Amino acid sequence: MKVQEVSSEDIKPSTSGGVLFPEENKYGHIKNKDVRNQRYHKIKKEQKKAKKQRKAERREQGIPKQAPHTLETLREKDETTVGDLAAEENEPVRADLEQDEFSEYYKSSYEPKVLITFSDNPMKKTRIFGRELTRIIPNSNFLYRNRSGVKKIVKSAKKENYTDIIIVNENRKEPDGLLVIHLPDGPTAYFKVSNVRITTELRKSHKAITSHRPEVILNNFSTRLGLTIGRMLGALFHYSPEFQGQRAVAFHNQRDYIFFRHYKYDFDSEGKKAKLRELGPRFTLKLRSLQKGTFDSKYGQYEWIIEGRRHAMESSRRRFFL
Amino acid sequence: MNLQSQYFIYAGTVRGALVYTQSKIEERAQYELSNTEKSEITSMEWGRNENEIVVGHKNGAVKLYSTLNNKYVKTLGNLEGNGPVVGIGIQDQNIIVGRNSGHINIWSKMDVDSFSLNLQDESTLECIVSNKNKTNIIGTGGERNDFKLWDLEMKKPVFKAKSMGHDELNLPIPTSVRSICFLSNDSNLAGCATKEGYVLLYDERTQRRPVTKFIESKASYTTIAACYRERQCVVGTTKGYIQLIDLRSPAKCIRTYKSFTGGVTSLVCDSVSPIVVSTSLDRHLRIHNLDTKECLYKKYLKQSLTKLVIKPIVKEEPNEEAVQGESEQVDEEYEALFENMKTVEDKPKKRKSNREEGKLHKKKRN
Repeated sequence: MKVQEVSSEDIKPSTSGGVLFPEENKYGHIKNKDVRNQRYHKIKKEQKKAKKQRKAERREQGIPKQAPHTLETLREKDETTVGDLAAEENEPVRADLEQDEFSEYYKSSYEPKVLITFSDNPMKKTRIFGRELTRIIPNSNFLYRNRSGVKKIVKSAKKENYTDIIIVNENRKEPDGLLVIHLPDGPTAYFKVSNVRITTELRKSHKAITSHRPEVILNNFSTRLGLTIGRMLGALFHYSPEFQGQRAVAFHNQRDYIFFRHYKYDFDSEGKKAKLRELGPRFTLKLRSLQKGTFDSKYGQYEWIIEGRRHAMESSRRRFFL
Repeated sequence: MNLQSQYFIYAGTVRGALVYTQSKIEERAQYELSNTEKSEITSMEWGRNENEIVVGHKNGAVKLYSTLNNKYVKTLGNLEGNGPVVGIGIQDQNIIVGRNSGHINIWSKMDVDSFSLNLQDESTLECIVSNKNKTNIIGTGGERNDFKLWDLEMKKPVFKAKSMGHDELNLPIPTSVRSICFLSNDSNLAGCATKEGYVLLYDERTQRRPVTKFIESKASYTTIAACYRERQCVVGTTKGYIQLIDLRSPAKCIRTYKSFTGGVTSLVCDSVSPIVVSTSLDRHLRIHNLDTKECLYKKYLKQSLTKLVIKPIVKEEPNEEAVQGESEQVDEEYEALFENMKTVEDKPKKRKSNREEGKLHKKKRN
């Protein structure tokens, strides 16, 4: 057969090779159900065994494992990916980070103090969710909003020496939005919240959560925007965790969804492996906008916003922003 | 990508760094990170000669940057007022610096002459712009501070915009000017972009109310720049798009340019071609074609950008040849035209052709 060079633009369905028919069961014609099943499972077992053997052979020969293709591994290259911060070309990024709004926190110069509040008249689940956030975030307070405006809250929180504000919004009696405001000069991030499971829904008890300061794990924030978001979430927690509490809080970014999990870990007797026990709650965040300065949705300047341009930005399933 | 003329572009960032790039595709931008003022660059302007950039910072410092040796050469001292530098203008050999508190400083080599705009409480100065054609006039505006034109010699306002009046609930319509530009063809016309989503065109000769208004209540404008065409301007918004607005009444938006993911912070138009250069908080520099809406160039510059200045690169030799060729052609045409006519004299013909040549040269240089 003649092989032609095909440019990536005009890929068409292949015309070579046979037609793939749906797989037919070899023993489908046997009318006795018992026998049919027996034969079928027997051949299935053999196939499995052969596969295992091939795998073992490959391992013996030292052929490296192949990574499966997923949306994540086939991700479109983003030019803002930071990579190694110490690299020479990242000098402007380093200079940026040294002066940004979180640089003071990462120099450990202050202890974060967080105010958690809600939209007006929060329902039961939202209230419990907020209460559980106070158990996770050390040095955080829980207050009802009392119909106050966000800009007013920001003003009074600055006076009370808060360093961050979290506002939980709700829809249909479920928490659905999270507004994180860093004080005193911003930035402000708005996240969509989904799949909230509070501890009772996970059949856990809040009594298992100790008051030790947790460790914070920020996973997979690779672009410049992701770095800012990671720093922002990290700056909500105290900079020095209490390791005897063996509590870990994880923000894991996968395909622009930030998964939050809260664990208690325990090492086995040899001290090599760790066992995880989830404490709850769990939820998923998705970034909607990042704003320069404190909350001003009408006149404030956005560093990143997806509203109104989803068709343009979500052009590919393999394109991610965090 | 077809960038007919390329540019030297200097952009200022939120962290006080300067980035220098030529609008080439494969090119590494140069970063000037050694600035001792670790503060956001809030204004930038070409200085008294073509190798000087005046850079104003959020903390109030003003510095001179030399593009010849890529260094900060000088810091301007003794500036009155407090708050960020909101605008820089050039008047002959003087540098005009406006501060957020409403103080205008006229810096010359000898001393600093300053005066206050006497703003009321709660009103601030957000931008000052000097008129390129009338150097002693500056335009000012800010939060609860309508557009005004000031004469620098008399230190008095020569034009005050009237307020926007009252709305249907009889409440005063607030205007907070974020950016001003003088239209390139007519120096009496000034466009203002406001926080509330207005683009207002004032004519100082006719009336104190705006001549034309463009309203988009959902938008909040950050910056405005005069386009090379008559009575057109481009405005940038906080939510990240640029609009091309025709200010002939009734004013309307002709085109919208997208591809931003963050707010637009400053815009500069080319004076002769349909090209707009923009900086954005999403850390990208973009060049758009005004007619085709095409994004000609996009570059990630690693820090959030706030201001920019551009200068077209003049390729000396090939350009001159082209100019000569053109002028010769024109001469031939002229001669042919005059040969066909019944000639009376020879001398005026030559003068005319010479003039034409001179005009062409000037245009190219601009």
